[in-house]
Amino acid sequence: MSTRFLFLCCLWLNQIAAQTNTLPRLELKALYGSNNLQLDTFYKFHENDSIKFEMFRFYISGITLKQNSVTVGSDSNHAHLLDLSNPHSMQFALPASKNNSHTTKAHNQLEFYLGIDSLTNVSGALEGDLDPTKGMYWTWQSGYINLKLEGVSNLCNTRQHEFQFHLGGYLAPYSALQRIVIDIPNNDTVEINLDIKACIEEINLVKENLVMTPGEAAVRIAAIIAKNFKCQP
Amino acid sequence: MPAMKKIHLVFFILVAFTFGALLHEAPLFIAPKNWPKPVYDLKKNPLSKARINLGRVLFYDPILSRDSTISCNSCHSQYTAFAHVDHALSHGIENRIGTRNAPALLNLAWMPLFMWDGAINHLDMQALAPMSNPLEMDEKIDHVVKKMQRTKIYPTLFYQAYGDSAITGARLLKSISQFMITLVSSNSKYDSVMRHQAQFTKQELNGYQLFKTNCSTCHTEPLFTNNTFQSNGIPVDTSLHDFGRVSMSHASTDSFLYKVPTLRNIEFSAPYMHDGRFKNLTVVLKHYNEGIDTQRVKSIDLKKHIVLTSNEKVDLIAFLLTLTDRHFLFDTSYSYPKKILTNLAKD
Ligand code: HEC
Ligand code: HEC
Repeated sequence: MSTRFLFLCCLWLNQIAAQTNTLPRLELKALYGSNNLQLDTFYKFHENDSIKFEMFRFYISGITLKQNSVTVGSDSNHAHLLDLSNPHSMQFALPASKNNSHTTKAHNQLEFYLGIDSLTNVSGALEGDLDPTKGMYWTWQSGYINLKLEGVSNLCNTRQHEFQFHLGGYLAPYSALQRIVIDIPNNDTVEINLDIKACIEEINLVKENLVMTPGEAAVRIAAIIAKNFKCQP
Repeated sequence: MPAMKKIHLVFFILVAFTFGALLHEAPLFIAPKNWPKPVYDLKKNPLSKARINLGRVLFYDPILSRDSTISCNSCHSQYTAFAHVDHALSHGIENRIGTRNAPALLNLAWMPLFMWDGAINHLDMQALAPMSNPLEMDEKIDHVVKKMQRTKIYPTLFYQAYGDSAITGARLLKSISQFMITLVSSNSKYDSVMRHQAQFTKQELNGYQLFKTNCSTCHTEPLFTNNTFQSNGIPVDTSLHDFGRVSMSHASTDSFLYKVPTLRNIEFSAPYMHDGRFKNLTVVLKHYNEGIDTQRVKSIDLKKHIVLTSNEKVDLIAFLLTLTDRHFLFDTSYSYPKKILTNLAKD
């Protein structure tokens, strides 16, 4: 059989794939300043302080792709759990949901949520990334933990200088869910960066190092993190 | 599996299916006539006999606790309508004492929020709370799943229930929900009277009238709770640092409010109140009669001062006892799943 035939087949298959299901790939990178953030590594912080991150996990949900504010595609996966200790979880193709056929259309905006919406929060036990075995569900009070950031810094006057941010909460007035809209180029891979250094610099670690319940602090810190998601052009 | 065997299996399944349909098996869950619509959405967790069985096995299995000593049943036993017998504050792992009294478990499909303060928003998520509470079972669900994968029975039970042997947190929780949903109590004398199949005695009837005048705005029929958060005027026990609903809602008006508990099977679910402070119904009525902190209560029913003569108190208690449902307390389909486990052991 000729290679030409195979080549045509491939082209044809490719076309089908493009028609039926995929939006661009999403690649999320956590940075510390201008470097990739590594877990379990001490970084210089402020002038004379140091900081180390031991866990960084968060949910993003409701991903939609827009062209001039008009939705051109939406992710059929309800939510994704991203975990810095598992590089695979930080980048994925976005399967388009069934009800939008024109997924290959041009796009210039990405919209998503940092966290889990309130309807999902009251929907009982869910599978996949939302399964409570993933460790992102509060047990003593129902609700998803939208984001966990844990580590160590000499600034924290806590047991072993630990800081722990477990941000979540879906009930008014302390809904921690954050909507994020970013302008993106019309590429097949969209790179989004999050500079954790910029985030943590806005938090006074001396005073605020354990946030483990829904409330004002959780909402405020979630907003700080949300605004630091930026597109890498 | 050889092809022949496979065909046999398919045939067997088909036959079993047809027979099942022909026999018209009793429905797994019936909402009693004239009751409100259940809150639990069964479409998202369709009941099946195998899933209910799995939930029942889990409910009785101490595998859910860290040192495999405590099961749900340790604090919620059937003969006390699934409340905690004799303990004011629940006992957990290594005899650690919790801060609240374990309520009766019944008619949970009609309950919108769980726990005395409504901290749990869905029946599915309820089991997570005792499993991971260091004062209760002190375990983590991902670890429980791993432990279950190593057992002989659970992969089989999950296979029977879900068509493959994968054990996930969601399946585990939903199965426990399925069992809990079947805990319907609707066969008390009160229910027979409402269905015109029995009659109250004169004393019970008088008690019923008193109940409707004084109690039913909160303990509303037919569930005997309106599922709201209220103060019934019991003084605050500051030693427990328990502030009630406010811890969840952050609304200062919710301080020291607790969920109105059902009164079904109240005869068997002593001690009473969120902290188990009252040992019997006589003491409870004494409270409603003369112990109410009228500053704290908002309900006009309780502000108006309930005054019951000693005869009336006896009548009211006689009525409360008509809420006892012996079918529920002795229903063998709720008890320790001996048969399921022996059948599994045989295979
Ligand atoms: C150590 C004792 C203990 C164990 C073990 C325990 N519970 Fe409970 N349960 C309680 C207490 C105490 C409460 C009330 C707690 C509160 O309101 O803060 C409760 C509340 C509940 C409720 C809410 C009822 C209502 O009216 O709001 C349900 C449902 C429940 N438990 C189911 C379970 C299941 C399922 C298990 C096993 C996975 C279990 N419990 C294990 C003590 C226990
Ligand atoms: C304003 C609403 C309200 C009214 C009216 C009311 N109750 Fe209650 N009742 C409650 C609440 C709330 C609790 C739980 C309080 C707590 O644990 O802090 C409760 C608890 C109880 C309990 C304990 C149940 C258990 O499982 O622990 C009994 C018994 C009871 N009430 C009986 C009555 C009777 C009898 C009347 C009428 C004389 C009455 N109640 C009127 C709100 C009310």
